[in-house]
Amino acid sequence: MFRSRIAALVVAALAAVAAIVVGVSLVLPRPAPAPAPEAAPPASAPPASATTDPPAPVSTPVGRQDAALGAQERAAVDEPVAVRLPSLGVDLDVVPVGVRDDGQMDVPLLVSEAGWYRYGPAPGAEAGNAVLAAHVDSDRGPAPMAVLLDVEVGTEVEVETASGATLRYRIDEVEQLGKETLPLDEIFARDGDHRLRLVTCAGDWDPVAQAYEDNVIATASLIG
Amino acid sequence: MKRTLTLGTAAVVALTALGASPALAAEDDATVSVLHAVPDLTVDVYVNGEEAIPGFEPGTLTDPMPMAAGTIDVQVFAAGDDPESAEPAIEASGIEVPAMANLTLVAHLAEDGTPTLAAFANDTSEIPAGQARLTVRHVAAAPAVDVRAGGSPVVEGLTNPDEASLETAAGTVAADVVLAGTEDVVIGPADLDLAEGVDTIVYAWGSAEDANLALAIQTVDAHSAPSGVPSGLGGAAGDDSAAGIALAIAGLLGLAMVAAVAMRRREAVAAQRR
Repeated sequence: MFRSRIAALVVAALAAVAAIVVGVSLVLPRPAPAPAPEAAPPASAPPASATTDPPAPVSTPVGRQDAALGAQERAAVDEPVAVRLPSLGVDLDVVPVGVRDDGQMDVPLLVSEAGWYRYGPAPGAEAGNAVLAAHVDSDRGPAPMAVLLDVEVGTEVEVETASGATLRYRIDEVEQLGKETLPLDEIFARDGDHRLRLVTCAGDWDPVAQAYEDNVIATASLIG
Repeated sequence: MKRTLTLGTAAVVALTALGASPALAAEDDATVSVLHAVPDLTVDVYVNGEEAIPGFEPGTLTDPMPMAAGTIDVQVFAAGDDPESAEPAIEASGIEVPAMANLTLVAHLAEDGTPTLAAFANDTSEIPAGQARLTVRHVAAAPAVDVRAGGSPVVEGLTNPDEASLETAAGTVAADVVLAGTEDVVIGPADLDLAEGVDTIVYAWGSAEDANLALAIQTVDAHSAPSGVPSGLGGAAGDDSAAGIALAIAGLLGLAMVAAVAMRRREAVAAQRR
């Protein structure tokens, strides 16, 4: 009995909150994300009608764009050209890569190179993950990127871009995950907070699949 | 107990009101863009009697607008006309807006030149990594056309107001539009940038008779991640000095033998313990 009373109270409270939220949201005008009309009236805005009274709540006109072919400029990208882990003596050239015929990321064969997934965000992007992947080894032995196997959180990573800028990142997480359970959508996310993702292989070599069983992913945030 | 039920009902009613309110984006909202593809006529677009897009010029496309699922009535007036008294240039009632749908409403010319309205569902299903989707929509006052890429037809016999879609490698293609089955180029050639993971929607619009046929472009994101990151060749990644290749060969050829030996050893150990 006591319990059902509490339940009733909780439901009542929730319903009250819901009603308030709905009520308020129905009364309040829509938030306008665009610049305030007073500050920057669009040149094409129609003159305010003098006969309209009282003034209706100002709703921001929906954004629009020229749909003509060629009107959609693609944002220029300052591509990465090198990645370094100075404290570990790693310095790799970076080349833009896409996907292989089998749908996997095309990682450069040269162990002195890391591939930047060029369809996703670049280092320094406003949002999303820049993915750099390099081989952990060649048929001759370990490769420079093998340092990721035991890199420590806090290690600094530098990315040099084509314009000559150096972006500094710090590793905040290192994960070793089985390839079957890899959260690929998250690793390659093109939205959300910007991160650098350094990826290589780890775990046991599966001679049948001709691949390692795991990937190591070091996630780094921009610090300068 | 009775009280709880009553309040529960109130909550449901409140939530229903929430879903019906156009000012609040809900999770199952549809996304609606509007393209103006009627030449030479600046318009005001009204949705459900409310002015939604004032001063809308031909060849422009709105940003995607969230819209509650349901049906909508759309009226298109010449810019500045009073909707109370003027005749709409285009009127369409009961357009279905399914939950979660991504739609483009297109004000355009029918094949005979009459202004009309079409609702296209945009395909937002995931495009494989590295690929691009090309969708072609015929919304022009023109007969059937073929769309060619690099000179070869990729879409044939497309008529107003139909569409065709294909997936291809991301990149730039030189496209043109010819009268179906002929070499008579009516639009282009023009370079189309087919971005990876993007549905590039190309509208052929305007009027053949008025010689103002043109292309309009809309892009809808539909990217997906690569299926993996193959970043090792089995050359022993530093932890052990044993070469991966050697291990692989051992694995392939000697696994059974190793296992047999191991078992025999275990038996031996067990025997000793006994």
